Amino acid sequence: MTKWYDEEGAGTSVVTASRIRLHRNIAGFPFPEKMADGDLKKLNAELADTAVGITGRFDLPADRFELGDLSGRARQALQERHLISSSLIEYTKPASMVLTKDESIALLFGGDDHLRLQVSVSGKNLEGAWARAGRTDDWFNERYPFAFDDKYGYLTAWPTHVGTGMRAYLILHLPILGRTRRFSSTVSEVGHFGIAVRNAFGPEEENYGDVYVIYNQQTLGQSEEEYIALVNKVGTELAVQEERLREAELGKRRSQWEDAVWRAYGTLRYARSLPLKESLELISRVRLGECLGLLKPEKTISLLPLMQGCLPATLCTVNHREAGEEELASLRAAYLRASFPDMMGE
Amino acid sequence: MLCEQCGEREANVVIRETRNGNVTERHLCAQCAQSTELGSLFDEIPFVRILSGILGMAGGSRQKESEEDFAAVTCPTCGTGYAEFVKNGRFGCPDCYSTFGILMDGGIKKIQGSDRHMGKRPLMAGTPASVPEAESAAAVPEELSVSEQIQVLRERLSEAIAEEEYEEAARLRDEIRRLEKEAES
Repeated sequence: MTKWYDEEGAGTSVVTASRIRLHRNIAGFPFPEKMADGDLKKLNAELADTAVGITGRFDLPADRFELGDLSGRARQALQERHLISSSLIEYTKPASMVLTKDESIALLFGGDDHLRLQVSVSGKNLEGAWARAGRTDDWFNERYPFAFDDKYGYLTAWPTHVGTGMRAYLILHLPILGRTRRFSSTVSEVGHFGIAVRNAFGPEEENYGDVYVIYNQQTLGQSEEEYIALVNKVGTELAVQEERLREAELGKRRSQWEDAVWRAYGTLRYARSLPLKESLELISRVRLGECLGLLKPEKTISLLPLMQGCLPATLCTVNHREAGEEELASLRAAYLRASFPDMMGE
Repeated sequence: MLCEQCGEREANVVIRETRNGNVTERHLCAQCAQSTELGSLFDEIPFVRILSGILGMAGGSRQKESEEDFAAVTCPTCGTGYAEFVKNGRFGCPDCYSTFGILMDGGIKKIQGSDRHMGKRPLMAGTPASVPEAESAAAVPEELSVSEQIQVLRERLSEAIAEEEYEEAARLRDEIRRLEKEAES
């Protein structure tokens, strides 16, 4: 089945995707960490039963499973696609998941909070994601009272989520802006507005593939709409800066860029072994080439699915085997050779 | 003391790090603490450190006393203790917000920039056992003895004075006097 992220529009060259995450707890119960396993399992099961109704209403077929039934690799693969947080990989208490087949709605029961609700959509559309997340939120809340306080709002295990319990994320492709010297000061500047900028891929200190995630750090004191407006504003500003730099680059160094993006495409189409970092950089470059109109793929280059498909746990899961670095590099190259579309007029 | 990083705003966050047994401390303002520490890591861990910093060293000189005072506080509903909360930065149940509310109030404001929810309200909300208004003296858990209540109120009084909330300070002073009288009789 097509995933939500397979539908990246042609007009969304910088903002790749939007995501809303909500944290909720059912009144009258301690948070999962402090619940007896038996009680937690029962509550998770009840909530998962309820979840089937809402995914059905959205007409989205869904899978339901226990995290405990998955292998460590399978859990890591879920984490790589940001469907669960990294703390859930080694989590030993009961946790259930309802995940629509297109992965646009991910509902986790157990973990830090009773309910972690995530809605992802392609392109810049936080409003759409929030509308859908809000309806899902209400669906549960019509059936279960939520832990809520007049002063602090929705009560969550982490005080860093209290209030709205909401984080709004935009995923941005910044191949030029991200490599400028002033980018780190831009990041700390937007930090003053309460917006965090993170690497979507790669270790904390090094970005692989020029994809960044921005989100509201604070969750208490402003309304959901205000947080969304803030994230949108910063996201739009970064996107505008990126677009300006792209135009300027194209004006100054068109032929170099043309060569670079075609080289990248050639490598992706023919290489036999590709390390992760290099792969993501090549994908980023080809996507940039498409956005600049330097090459015209038969179908649009979808950054997120291509990059996620390169990640180690996902590669192991898809190929149904464990693999070391070297074998991963060849599996990755094979995957990319098969995934990259032909170019028109080649 | 001014923030070590920007040198402009008052430092109200202390980040303590232990590396190879050496403890280093950085005094930062909330903004710098967020943009530097939080800007570099993906998960919540730095938030915890900052939160613990705020809670553990809320007011410089009176830090030691307050830590001792609160060390004994335990959430009656889920059993989460103060030390556990400071270590994990995480609550055990909705009632923890009232148990640790006195501690949280200043801290949460520094992290979140606000301490008042302005957004969506639930269709159906369960009332946690008691999440009282943190400004009122009722925020002191009833399980505490009168002398413990007085200690907690004194803590809040010095915080109110430090924050220059004199009306609140006067109210707390009267509340302490009332409890002291009650204890005498």
